Amino acid sequence: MKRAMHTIVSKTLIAAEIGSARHTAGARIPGHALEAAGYNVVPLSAFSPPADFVNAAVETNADGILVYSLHGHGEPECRGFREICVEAGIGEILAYFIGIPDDCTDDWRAVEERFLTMGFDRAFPSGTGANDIASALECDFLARAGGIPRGHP
Amino acid sequence: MSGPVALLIDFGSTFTKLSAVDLTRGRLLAASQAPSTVETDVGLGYAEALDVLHRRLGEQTRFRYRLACSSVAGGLRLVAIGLVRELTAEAARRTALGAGAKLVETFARELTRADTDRIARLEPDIILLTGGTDGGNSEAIFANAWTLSELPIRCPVVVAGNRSASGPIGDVLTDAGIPVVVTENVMPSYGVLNVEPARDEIRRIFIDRIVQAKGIDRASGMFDLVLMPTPAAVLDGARLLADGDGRRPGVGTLVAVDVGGTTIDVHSICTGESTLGSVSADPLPEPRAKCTVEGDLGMRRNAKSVPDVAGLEAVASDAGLTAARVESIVRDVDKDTEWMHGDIESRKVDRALARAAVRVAVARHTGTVEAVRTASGPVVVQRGKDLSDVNAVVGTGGALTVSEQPVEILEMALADSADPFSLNPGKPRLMLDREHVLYACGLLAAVDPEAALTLALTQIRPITRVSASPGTVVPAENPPAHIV
Repeated sequence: MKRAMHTIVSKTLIAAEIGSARHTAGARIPGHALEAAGYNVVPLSAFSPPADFVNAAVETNADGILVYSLHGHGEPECRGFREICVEAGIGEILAYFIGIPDDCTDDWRAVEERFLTMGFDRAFPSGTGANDIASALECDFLARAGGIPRGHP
Repeated sequence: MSGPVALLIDFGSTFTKLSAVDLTRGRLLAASQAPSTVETDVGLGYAEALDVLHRRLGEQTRFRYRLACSSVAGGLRLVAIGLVRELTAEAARRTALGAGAKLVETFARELTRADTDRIARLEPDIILLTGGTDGGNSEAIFANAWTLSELPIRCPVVVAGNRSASGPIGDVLTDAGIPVVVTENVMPSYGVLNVEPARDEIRRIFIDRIVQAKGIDRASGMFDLVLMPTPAAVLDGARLLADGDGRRPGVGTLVAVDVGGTTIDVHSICTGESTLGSVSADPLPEPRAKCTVEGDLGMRRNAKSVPDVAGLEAVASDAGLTAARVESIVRDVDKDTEWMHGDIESRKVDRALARAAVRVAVARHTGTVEAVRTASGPVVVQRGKDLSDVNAVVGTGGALTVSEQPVEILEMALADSADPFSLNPGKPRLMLDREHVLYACGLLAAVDPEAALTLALTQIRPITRVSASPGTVVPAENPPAHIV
């Protein structure tokens, strides 16, 4: 895990809470940890709809988008996210969901499957540590660069 | 008169206006105006206005400064280009408006053939090319620079985009024979607005090149310098009136409404932070000195579109006339844009048009709030500026200064008391720039801010409604004597 926190550099990530989250702390705190790992993390304001994530990614030429949602409405707010990316010309961008997708989540495997179907590259339950996110990012960026096959960190 | 005197000039589309200011006391000595003569020689109208001014001054005065602003020949026509419409294209738009330019169109993303055809047809005086944060996207701004280099345009281009790409982009345009200025990014990182460097370059180009292109330099021996476009001078004047000169305070936060013949310009000098405890949802912060120009609203050239925008029935009801009668009078105004107040019905229509135009223009300038349901309860989300606690609303422009009822027009800028979510000004002082000195204050601030502030504070006065005679207005306190 420590390996990931020290080896990734020069990648830009959009990291924020999506939709009707009234604060930004949920994404800001792991964002700081990812910055310490060498990522350039771009935060957004509260109440950011999917389009704000995508617009920010276009302007900053971001390498990945981390969509946080901790208030239990993440799944409906993330529907169509990949399609918006495609429309904006960044359809291949790496996108993770981290948080609570709905009010009655118990089978994370099923949740993850739904988010993968929606076009996210990975989905993590709330409480996932920044180190685990960083490891997954490292894996995926390396895989995209042709280094190693993509897989779970 | 023994002290130094400054001459301030506004080359407007319709009138050339002059103000003579006593620099020692910061007092307006005299003012005059004459029809602008842009089609022939701008110096003719200027000379006529100057002749009137000298007669009003009562002697042949030598001026220490002769400074001008201009909006002749369509003003400073600017095309803004960015990447994402809500981000760098919006930052470019705000930069252009802050520079006093007339923003003729904003383009986002990579320019299409239709876009380039449109740019060629628009014949802008200047292009502001932005796109990408520093270190961010450079493909779009590069592609757009290449596209511009192939167009038959020779107007200057200000490049204010991704710093990593600025140098090569400058080379591409220079090699194509296009004058280029490279400056700092208008949005160096996400959500950060950096308008000043590009704004300053736009103003510099205006002074160096555009003034000549507009033919104003033909009168250049008769004044020292055209400093800036007129909207920029008004914005600088509003900023001085609000903030003071560093030694004396101004009137505090304000909204200034310039009710002109061709446009309605609204300037706000305030942070616009929420007074309702709302959460801001703006991807870009609002500039403290913000200017919006409503090109579809005006008292003469755009009078016809005011009922279209505000509703003919509403305007007619406010005027106390039938819709058909209002339409007929507005048609007359449209035919003769130099039309002045005539009979009572015309004056009623003029008042109703001004009230409608001010209401719409200020509403467009002001932010909005909406209640959003969240898992932890409802939250009020704000977009744009909250103007509800500004100290003053200042009126300027012909329609207000000649009106017998400027309070009734300015009141349209205020919040509707029945709307708890209105962000319009709440209970500000209403002030009137009756002698049209706000532009002069902005110009004078560049060379003598102390005199400029005194001029602003003495000439722009609070106004109130006189209850005994509704519709009649007097200054609230000690009206300064003036010569005009």
